[in-house]
Parts: sequence; structure tokens; C-alpha cells
Amino acid sequence: MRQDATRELSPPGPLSLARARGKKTGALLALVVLGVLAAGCAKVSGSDGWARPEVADKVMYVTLEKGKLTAIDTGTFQKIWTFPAAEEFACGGGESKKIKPDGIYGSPAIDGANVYFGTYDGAVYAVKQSDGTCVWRIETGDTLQAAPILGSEGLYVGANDGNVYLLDPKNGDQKQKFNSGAVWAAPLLKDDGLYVSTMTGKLWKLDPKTLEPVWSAPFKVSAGLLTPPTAVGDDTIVVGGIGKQLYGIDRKTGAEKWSVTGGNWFWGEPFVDGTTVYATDLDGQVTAIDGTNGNKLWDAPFAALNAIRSGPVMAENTLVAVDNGGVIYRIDPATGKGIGQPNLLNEDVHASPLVLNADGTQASSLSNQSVSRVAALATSSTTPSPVASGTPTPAPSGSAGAAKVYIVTTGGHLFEFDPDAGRTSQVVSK
Amino acid sequence: MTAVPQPVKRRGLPLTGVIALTLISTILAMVIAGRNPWNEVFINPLINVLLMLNIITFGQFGLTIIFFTLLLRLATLPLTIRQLQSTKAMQAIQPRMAELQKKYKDPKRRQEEMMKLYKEAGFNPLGCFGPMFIQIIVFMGLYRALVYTVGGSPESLVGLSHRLYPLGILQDQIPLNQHFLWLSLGHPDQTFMVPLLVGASTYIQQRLAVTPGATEQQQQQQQMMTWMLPLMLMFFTLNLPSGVGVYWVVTNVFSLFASYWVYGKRMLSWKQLLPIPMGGPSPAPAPALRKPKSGSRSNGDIEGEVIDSDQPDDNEPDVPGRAGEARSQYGKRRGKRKKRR
Repeated sequence: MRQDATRELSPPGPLSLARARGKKTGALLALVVLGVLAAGCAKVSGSDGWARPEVADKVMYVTLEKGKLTAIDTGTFQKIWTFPAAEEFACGGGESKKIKPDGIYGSPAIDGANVYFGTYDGAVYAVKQSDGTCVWRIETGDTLQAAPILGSEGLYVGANDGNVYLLDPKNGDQKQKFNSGAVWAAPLLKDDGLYVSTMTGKLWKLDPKTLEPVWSAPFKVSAGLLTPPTAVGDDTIVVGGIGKQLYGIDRKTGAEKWSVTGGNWFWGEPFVDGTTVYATDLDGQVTAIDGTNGNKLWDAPFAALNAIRSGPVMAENTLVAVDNGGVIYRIDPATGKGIGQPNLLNEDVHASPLVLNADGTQASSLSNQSVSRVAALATSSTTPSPVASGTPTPAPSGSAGAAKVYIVTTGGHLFEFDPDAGRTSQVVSK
Repeated sequence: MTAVPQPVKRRGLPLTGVIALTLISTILAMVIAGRNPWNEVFINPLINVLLMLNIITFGQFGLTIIFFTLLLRLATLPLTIRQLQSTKAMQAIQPRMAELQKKYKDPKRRQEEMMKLYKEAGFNPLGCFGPMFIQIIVFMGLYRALVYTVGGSPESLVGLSHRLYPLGILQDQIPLNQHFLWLSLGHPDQTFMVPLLVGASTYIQQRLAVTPGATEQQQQQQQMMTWMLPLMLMFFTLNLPSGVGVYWVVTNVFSLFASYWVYGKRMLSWKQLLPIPMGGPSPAPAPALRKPKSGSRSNGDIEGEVIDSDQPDDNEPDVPGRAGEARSQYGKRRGKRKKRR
């Protein structure tokens, strides 16, 4: 009779060598896999934020730590307050709760009473400008990357949940909502409308009061739009994004006027000086474009060493760009040639720089963006807000005297850069 | 003269060699060109394939991960099966190895005889490492690819921009839809369901695939591993993007099917899942050996078989490898045994 095959082939004793080897191999495999996971964990968790600082009344509002907003005196660079000051805090007289805000990607909006900002966990906060206590907090349906902006109708918030919200700045109540598609970039409020670019590749022009679309159809491309819409002159909006294209759009009709191809995605806020648009891309190129027709103004784009997420700024007739590796470049705006040696911060930088005039007021850094983020209420409010009165109007490039550039690093340091001397110094640490 | 088991076919070896040579030469070329071979050879292609598949799954990135995992496991199925068959072959020659260990006290001579035995059986002692190595590499690459694609933060997108091939349809997939079932694929699962599934599927997969240890010490080590690995993976999955957890669950389920394919139905014994020592009785020393039959190699008999096995041994555990070996060598033997009972 034939024996049971199982018993024949595998008696219960002598598997020792193979098993021992197998177990050792298995243990080694497990250790390798777990080591890989452990090594990768730190990078997974990063949503640290990259908000550009804003200044009002000689106070700078800056994110040095993930999920925290700090007010700094621009005269002494001493910290005034940090929100949240503790793990538990209450908003608007409500119950105190333990909340840990996620990274802040959008620059804060300031109206003289409160500072408004969004966090990556989808919450919008209003905190008192004077002491940083929470006035109100609301939640959107998804993450928040876009900076909120202020207008005469209220606070506009573009969210990744696909909506643009119009909120009452006093209490955060929703006044209007428009389903635009996921918004990652700050909207632009101009005289004739609210411009919203979306990750679904659309540029909307909305009525600032009702949020109804103004154009018969939005401008539409297949790839997502990452840059905040930026106005050039009276008739063009510039926007760009993942498709490696920068577009000039007719403000009246929403039709494409021109497009320019870059080296990679456009993500940083373009800087506009007159009709010239300076744009950075993730290939590390800085390009100058005639905003009226899309012609490139330099012989060749300026090439940085690393990708550039942040937008360029103008200080002392010098175009300043900072790449993701923390290398600061001074560029001749007329020719696109580098000036002097680049400066190294030895820390990564994703946030756009801020330019301050010698008197501590904010120079033009985002062209028309700064106006709607800081001073919009000044034009609509019957009583002038204290901040609005102290808020500078965008200074023409080159007229600011000894302007300084302020750069926030991912390591939580604030650096001051002198564009004349090409020197950097750390002024604040987290 | 002693019999040896039927040699394992070595069909996979040349393929593995060709793949290894191609990889090594590509990596060298990358290094010479000053590019990061790890990114260029593994991460970037994986990312772009994931985005391609995302078009097929209508932008449902959760389905893309599942689809990709299945395709990947199917593509590496020959390697997986070869690995499992190597394990089976190793089990088959165990009796002879035990005999050699007893017979030769000189380690050098014993090693030589063992190598001879491997050669006769067509078993490559390092055969298991090739597939394992490839799986580790693929896993590491996929892990990094998922971190970039569903990393869950704008920072991860900055890194992704340099890794996409210049095709408009790939750029159009960004940002990926992170929502799948109850999960946000770029973030850890707050409901703990995915970590639990990862732990459970790893435990079951380990429990069913493992063979009992020969000594008490080995059994204890196995016990520890079958508990420790799932627990550690659960712990890590708590902090990883849930998309990685989805990959892990799917690949574990696929492994179960692959083991079933090789070992047969008997591996699916619920006894195997119980958290008790699997070996039944403590492992005995080498069993009594049957006298070798002349010409036994032709009918598959091997030296080291148990002499009397007409009466089934109730204490003998259900071992996947054994069952599979039985089926491969004796066809429908299981059915007959059942009938006898």
C-alpha cells in the first residue's frame, strides 16, 4: 500500500535547517521593510505650510511653526503674541477645546480688528490683532491652502472642498457660497469682480456680492491652476499652474489672450511691475513676460539651482527670487542676468518673500494681491480702520529707499536680506 | 542508493539573471550620467504608471492602488511561485539532509554532501532570496511613490512635479482624488480599520504559510514572529498614508491566493489560525527511515520516508508545504486519504 504522501515527504522532525534559514530571512526582511517605513514616516507627515508674512501697522504676521501664527514688531523684531498660545483655547467665548491647527499655507488677511487665516485641516480662524485671542473658528469641508482675502462684502475663502465662501468677518457666518472646484490659490478682488483659479483648471470671474459667475463660461484648461490670479493693467489677468503654462486672460470676456510655456509648473505668485510679469516655476526658471501680449522680454530665463515654489519680489530695482533650497538670487529686471553671488540660507524655503520699506511698511510684493489682503476694507469702510490707515499703498519699484527682504524658512527662521549689500541675517527664530 | 525528489525546474534563473544584469547596467549608466538611479529606475516610473492607471480607474486613486497592486503581483507571480516551490523543494529534501547531518560529522564534508544534494534536487539555496529581494525593492519603490502621489500635503506635490513624464494626460491627473471609501489616502486612517486589516491579513498570511519549527526554540521564534510582525506593521500603518495600508492588505490577500495555488486546499485549515504552537507534538528526532527501493527515483520515492504510514498520524499537523508536495507528487492522494478515514 502506498503511504500517505504527506507523511512520507514531511516527517515532523528534520525541517530545522530550512526553517531556521527561512526564519532568519523573514526576520531580516521584516527589519528591512520596517526600517524603510520608519525612515519614510518623517516625510509623510509634512504639511508644515508656507505662508508669506503680511505686515500691518508695523506688525508682521508670520508662520514660524506649523499651525501657529506669530505677531512680530517690525521695529524690534520681538514677538508680540503667538496663536494658539496653548493646546487648549476657546473661540468667541465658547468652550475651551484642545485643537492643534495644521500647517498654514495662505498669507493672513488683516482688517484692523482681526487677522484671518486658514489651516490645512480646513479651519478658518479670526484672531484679535491686538492680542491673538481667537474670535471665531469655522470649518470647511476639506483642506485649506488658499489665502483668504478681504473685501467690502466680507471675507472670501477658497477651499479645497470645491467652494468659494463669502463669510461675515465679524462672526464667520456664511453669506454666500459658490461651487467653483477645488481652490488652492488666493482669489483676486478687483474693481469689476472676484477672480478665482481652481485645481480643476478653471478661472472664474464672480460677482463679489452674490458670487454669481460674470463671464458666460469660465476660462478652462485641462490641468490645475496653482497661481493666484494676478491683474496686469486694466484688461488682463495672469494665471498659471500644473500644465507648465502661464496664461493671459481677457478680464472682460474670459478669453485667452496669450500663453507662455515654462520649464515646469507655475506655483509662485507672479510679480507685476507695470505691464511686465515676472514668474517663477518649479524648474527653477525666472521669466519676464510682457503682460499685454505674452512676449518674453529676456533673451533667456534666469536659471536657479533648485525649483522655485515662491514668487519673486522687487526690492531696490532688483528682482529677488529664492529657490526651494534656500538660495537667494538678485536679478537685473531689465536683462534677467544675475547680480553678484547668490546667498545661501542653508535651509529650504517655500514661502514667498516679503519686502519692507525702510520705515517698516510693506512694499509692493504681490502687486495688487497685497491690497486686497490688507487694505480692502479701507476703501469700503465708512470709518477708516486703524490698520488700513497705517497700511502702505504699493510702492513703485525702486522708490522705497533701503528696502529689506524678509524670508521665512521651513526650519522656522525669519531672515533679513539686504538686496544692496547682498547680505543675510537671521532676525527671528521660532 | 538513495532517492532524491524530482528536481525543481530552473526556468526562472535565466530570467532573473537577465533582469538583474539589465538593472545593474542601467543603474551604472545613471550613476555615470550623474542622476539618481533609485529615482530614475524605480520611483519615477512607478509614479507615472500609477497616474496612467488612474486614468483607467476614472480618477479613483484607491482603485488605482488596488489595480496596480494586483498587476504588480501578477507580473511577479512567476517569482512568487518559484519562491514557494523552492520552499517546498527544501522541505522535500529535509529527510536526506537530516541523514547527511547524522552521517557526516565533519562540517566541510557535510557541506559538500549537502551541496551535492541541492544539485541533485535542482534546489538553489539562494533561490528564495531573488524573489524576496525584488519584492523588497518593489515595495520600497511603491512606498515612496505613494508618499509622493498621495503624500497628503502641498509639499509632496512640489516633489512630484519633477517626477512626472512630459505628458499632458499625466499632468491632468493632479491633484489625485484622495478620497476612497472612508479613507483619505494621503493621511493615516482615523478609524483604525486599515491598520487592523493590515495586521489581520499579515497574521493570517504568516500563520497559514509558515511551517512548524523543528525544535521548541524555533517554534517560539515562529510564535514571536507571527505576532510581532503584524503588530509592528499595524503600528506603522497607524502613522502611514492609508493608501500604503490598502496596498499592504491587497498584497497580503494576493499572497494567500498564491500560497493556495502552490500548497493546495489543505493550507486553509482554521487550526492554523489559532494562536497556539502549530507543531502539535514536540518535534521528534529524525524519524525511522524506510529502506530505499531500487529505482525509486523514478516513482518519486525519497530516502528518509516514514516507514509505516498506513495509519495516519493524528498528531501530525496540517502543513501547507507537505500538503502541496503530496498533491504534486501523488495527484489526488488527498481524496483517497479522506476516503480511508
